[in-house]
Amino acid sequence: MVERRVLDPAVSMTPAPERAVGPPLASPGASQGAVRATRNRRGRLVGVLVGRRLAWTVPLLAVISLGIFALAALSPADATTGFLGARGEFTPASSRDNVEELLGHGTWLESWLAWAGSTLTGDPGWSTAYRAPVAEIVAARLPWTVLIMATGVLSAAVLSVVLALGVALTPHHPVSRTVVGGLWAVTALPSFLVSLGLMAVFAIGLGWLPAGGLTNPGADLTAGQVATHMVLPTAAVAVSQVPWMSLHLHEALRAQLNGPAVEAARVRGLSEPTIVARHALPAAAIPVVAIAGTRLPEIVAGAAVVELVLSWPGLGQALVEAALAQDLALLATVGVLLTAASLLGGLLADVALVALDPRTDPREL
Amino acid sequence: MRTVPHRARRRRTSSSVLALAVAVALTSCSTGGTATTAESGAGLRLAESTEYASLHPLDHPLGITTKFYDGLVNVGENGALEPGLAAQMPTPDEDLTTWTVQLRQDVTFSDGSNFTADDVLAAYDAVRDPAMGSWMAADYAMVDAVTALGEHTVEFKLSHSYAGLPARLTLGIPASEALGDSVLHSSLAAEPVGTGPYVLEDWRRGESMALSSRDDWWAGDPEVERIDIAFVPDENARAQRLRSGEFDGAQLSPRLAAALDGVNDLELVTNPSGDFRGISLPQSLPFFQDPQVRTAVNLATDRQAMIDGILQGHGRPLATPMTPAQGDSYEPSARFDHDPARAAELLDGAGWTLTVDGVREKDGRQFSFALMYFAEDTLRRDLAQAFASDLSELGIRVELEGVDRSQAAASMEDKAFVLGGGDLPYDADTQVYRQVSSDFADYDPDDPYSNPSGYADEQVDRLLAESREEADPQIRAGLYRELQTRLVQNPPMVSLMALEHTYVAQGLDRWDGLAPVVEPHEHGVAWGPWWNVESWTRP
Repeated sequence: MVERRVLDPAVSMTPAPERAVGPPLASPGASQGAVRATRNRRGRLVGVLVGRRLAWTVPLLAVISLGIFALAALSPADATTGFLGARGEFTPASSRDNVEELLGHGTWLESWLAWAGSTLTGDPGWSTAYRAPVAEIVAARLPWTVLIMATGVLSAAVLSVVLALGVALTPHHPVSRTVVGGLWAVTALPSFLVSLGLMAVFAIGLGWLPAGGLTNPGADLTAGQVATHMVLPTAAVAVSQVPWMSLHLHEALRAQLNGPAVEAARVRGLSEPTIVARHALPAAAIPVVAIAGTRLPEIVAGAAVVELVLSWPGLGQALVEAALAQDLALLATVGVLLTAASLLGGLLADVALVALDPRTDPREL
Repeated sequence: MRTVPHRARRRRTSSSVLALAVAVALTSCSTGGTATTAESGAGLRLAESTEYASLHPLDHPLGITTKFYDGLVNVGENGALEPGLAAQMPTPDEDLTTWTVQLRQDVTFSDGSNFTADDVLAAYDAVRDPAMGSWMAADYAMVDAVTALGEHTVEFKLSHSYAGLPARLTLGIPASEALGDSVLHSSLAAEPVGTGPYVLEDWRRGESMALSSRDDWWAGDPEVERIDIAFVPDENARAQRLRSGEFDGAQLSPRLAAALDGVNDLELVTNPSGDFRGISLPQSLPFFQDPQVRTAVNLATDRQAMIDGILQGHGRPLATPMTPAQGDSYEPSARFDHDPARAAELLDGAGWTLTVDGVREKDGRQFSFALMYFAEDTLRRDLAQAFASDLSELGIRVELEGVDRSQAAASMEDKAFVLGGGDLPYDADTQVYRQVSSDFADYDPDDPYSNPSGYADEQVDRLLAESREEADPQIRAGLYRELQTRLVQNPPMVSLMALEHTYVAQGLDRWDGLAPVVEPHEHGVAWGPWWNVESWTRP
């Protein structure tokens, strides 16, 4: 059996070039029942895909956390030195031995087994860097990171669609050229510079927005305070995502707008806005969505810098601190969370791909 | 009239492109005040550079914990020790091995319980208990036993005479029932229970902390009722937010602090410190076994140029680890003037002669060594570069190595190192002993920073021992002055300078009671002009 045709008989009935633009264009030629049956079948296959991926997740996370412990053992830095930090310079030998004893010893494998066993029972251990339970630290910080990442990526997506459409529809306009050039330039800007720049302009220069933290110094933690304070970190996350998103989208849109599917639609007399909104944009979004899932870890890494500069109490800051202090329980827990998040991101991107592109076979993903 | 005398003269240098760039960036922005314009009548808003890992007094002494805890002895104006929870300064017996401390009777902890001798016993047992894991345990190794002579009297029995004990009694005393099993797992790391002027109101991890004053502190109600501390690790961000008026103060590097001095209502405030920097001269290297060579290297070092160029003038040149902050114990005539010509003579005399390629040699061995500095520490990096440049003019090759702490510890025996000291400058003994005593001359990878040069001098050891046994403060100070004279005759290392810690603040004139202090190596918003914030009053 040849999957694609069987997967979507409705599509297979339409001329080949039109398949690329998907069901909306193809469905007039197919019966309602056939479409429903196809949807059900694809739904089941997506379920299988999700199950298969999740089954892989657990062993993968185990290997990743094992790797973190093994690599830490190879690194010249040791936990005692990390724990003592700057005080190490004033710590005589016998005190140092006590601290070493306190932090525990044993091989990296034993440490990992202890951590993994404890994590399976719901307690991911004790953070040496923060002298507190890992679960408490993660629970306190994760929401803040998710907040600026989710809003940042979402606003980046909206802005990218606007920019890419604008540029793709008026490719020869001087503004379009400037925008594309500008986007390439922004790609080269490191996160800390973006964050500091945003702060200098919008917080210090114009005085429109607060420069950092969750609230003004000493203010209560209210939704209003957080809403104004999250603007800059969100913008900083968004600014780092807009260039690649919009440039990819722009390229894909240009290809679509000059492609045979759109030609065919034009021949059939569909209006230009309909063609762009219903045919070109969904098709162009496919590669961008596919990339987005895999770029999640990078977004988190960028967020760590944003968090540091804008004093945003997220997980990225804690990750850096854990690495510097050789705080393995926290490092491994955050590492596992990040891995899980990017696996989930990849999965969501794939599911979105199946939904957007009828040619995609869930069994091949 | 304010009393902070070390307010620095404003100074701008164009020596650094960075300083200039930052200054331009800062001054080119308009003055837009952000959301926080509310006059904080009885409060302070400060920005701290690093979040505290722990608030446990046995894990984090002499910093923010001094707001939550008192020691038996506290650090007072100009760095003088004064009674804290002790009713008067501890009194020793004749041979300084038994010290008796009368305790205040009117003191309660923030949880409402009474402060008694049991709390003192518990704290000093805990700090010495290996299982507690306090990094200060070894500092109390001379304490054999602490006993209660009554509900409000304790006695310290020492294994040897020790005149420097009062400085060690600055340890913060928590409520004994809250001590916990170890500094790692104790609830005190996040929930202080002390006798100090403030309590922890709120701690938003990674973001900020709020302190509020107690209304039952034994020394009276603080008029600064609330202190909000935001954690702003990025120094440029800290400088920008200070400039916008969001904070009343923060610590900044000398360069950034100078750039902000006089901008808006900000002013530069400095405190002297016992925080010194030096360069070890490991005697495993043959050339550093010769005192003449060590003297030559000291004479070749242009300390004042480092202070002016790197610290914007905020430092005092040193010849030994002893600093002017040690008061009568400091010997001002013990100094190394910058004299490269004399240094060259000494090296020639010692047989290290210049070769055609400009590097000195003796018996076929080049005068060349590696100098390590902590890679993340820009001050130590700059000092290492300046030192290498001074020595290269003399025909000595110095290879710089930026290292992490583990690498530094592993290579300390045969590589020079830019070291820092002054963790407890309130007694001459705690300032200098570990640096120069032959007790620590043998390299120990677990204790690489004590006497990192592997220096041993009989006269120095004798003076260190005698001053520990001397009860008369004036005679004792004289012994330390003699020690410095000897340390210049036979230098263990190149002591560079004592730092002045630099802060930027606004609104200080709204308060009376500001005073200078001597800061330890530790710095931050618990020091600076705010170190005695609990006793500030409204004019």
